[in-house]
Amino acid sequence: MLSLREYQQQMAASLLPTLSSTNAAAPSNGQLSPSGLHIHQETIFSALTKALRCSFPSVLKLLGADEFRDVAAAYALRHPPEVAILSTYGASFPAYLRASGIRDRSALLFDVARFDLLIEEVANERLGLFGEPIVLTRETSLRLDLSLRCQRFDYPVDEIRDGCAAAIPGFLRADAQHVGRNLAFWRCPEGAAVRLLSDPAAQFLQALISGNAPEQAIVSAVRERNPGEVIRTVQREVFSSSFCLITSTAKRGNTA
Amino acid sequence: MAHVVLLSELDAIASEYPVSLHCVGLSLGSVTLPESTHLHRLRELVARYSPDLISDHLAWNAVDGIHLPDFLPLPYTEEALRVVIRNVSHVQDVLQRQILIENPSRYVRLPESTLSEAEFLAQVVLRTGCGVLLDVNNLYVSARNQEVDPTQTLAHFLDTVSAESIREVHLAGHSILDRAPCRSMLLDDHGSRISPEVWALYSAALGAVGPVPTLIEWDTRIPLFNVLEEEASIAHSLMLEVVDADAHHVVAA
Repeated sequence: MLSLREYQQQMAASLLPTLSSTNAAAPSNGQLSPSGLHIHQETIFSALTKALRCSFPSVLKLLGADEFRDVAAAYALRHPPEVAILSTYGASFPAYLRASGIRDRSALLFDVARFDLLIEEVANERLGLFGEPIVLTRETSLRLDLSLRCQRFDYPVDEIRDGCAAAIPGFLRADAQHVGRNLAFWRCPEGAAVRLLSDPAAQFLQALISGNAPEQAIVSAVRERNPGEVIRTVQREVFSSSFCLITSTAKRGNTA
Repeated sequence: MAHVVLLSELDAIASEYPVSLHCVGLSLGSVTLPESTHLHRLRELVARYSPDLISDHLAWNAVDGIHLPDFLPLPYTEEALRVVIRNVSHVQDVLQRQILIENPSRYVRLPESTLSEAEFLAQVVLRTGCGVLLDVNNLYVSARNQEVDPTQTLAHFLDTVSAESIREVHLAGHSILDRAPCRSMLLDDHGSRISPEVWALYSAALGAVGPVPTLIEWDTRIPLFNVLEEEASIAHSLMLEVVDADAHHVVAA
């Protein structure tokens, strides 16, 4: 008789054949009815493809329901979840799409899937938690929202998602050209907030998120640009955003 | 981001009504302990809502770090019993709360089983202090799929599991599969009215257990609200027929 571990390993392999290098025999030496296993298999794949549909709504819209189901099922077969919470399932789905070469649009799908995933991930973060103070000057420091991410995309993914959500006719025209953009994501009461950033602002923010000091972050943002203009851009796009908390440590004067 | 909205709605509901948290991912039958991160997130949820009841299933869905989102069947053996007792005790220790264990729908026979489901559950109750969530539709579906008499199965269940340990009841609709290879099997799909046979079993269960909170599960092919209300009112009527007590225990979801 199989141990419980052996039984569970064999049943998992019979439900997801990719888990085993050989065709797994059903547990109990094949005494399980194939119909029962079929029901479990359908339930599992249905749950996984549904989780991917929820996390990747724009990819679903671009591919259509039938193609998305096929792609999602193929992905689920090779990449079953490693945690119980399905809202976090699909972290490697964008890379899977890029490698799949679907309809010669894998680069677009990769970008759109990354955007969908970030929206989902950030919406699952805690609301209103800020990191340690980063000293800007002797009197001023800033704290960044811990949910903050900043990424560059090759396509106008935010417009594509809006177009998908609103079913705007012709919204896919946007993907005909590469219109790269930097986007910041952070948790807000409604889920995830997204803000378009210029190159210097994105480079400054990315450097800060990576743990660099503000001086180094400014250097990485300036490059061959006008320093004064870069600082004004950073103030306008980063310091004024709700993902950034500016605090003054200056002593107040005696107003009495 | 529906979950964001749901959380705030749940805050509002929990401020007005008692809450029962029903879990699906603890994998109480796995040879490994329930996933620590998942369990600690559940603990946060419990701290936030102070639910009256917390439950999960007598099943497993994780092995070797892979999670399969379904209630996979356990063989009811002494080894599985030791594992479930260890896992239920662990969850109750972390949550500092009693949990309820639900009988799942079964679609496969596991001939290694040396205990009936009721005997297995009774032992888990005895040795962990947990309670039981009796899903009447699951009991019916499992009995029919294993070609045994549902009425006798319920009678055995109620003879074996102590009435006071049964603290919640679930009802649901099921469908009959008509395609190969599952032809004529019953599927617990929560997508239709409760069958007359399940209502009869529910009535019998109420006679033995008394008034306990009852949930009607309907989460696929969701009907108009008045259909759900009609089902809830049937449950309410049966509860009133069986017990001469305050029967405001029926909710529909």
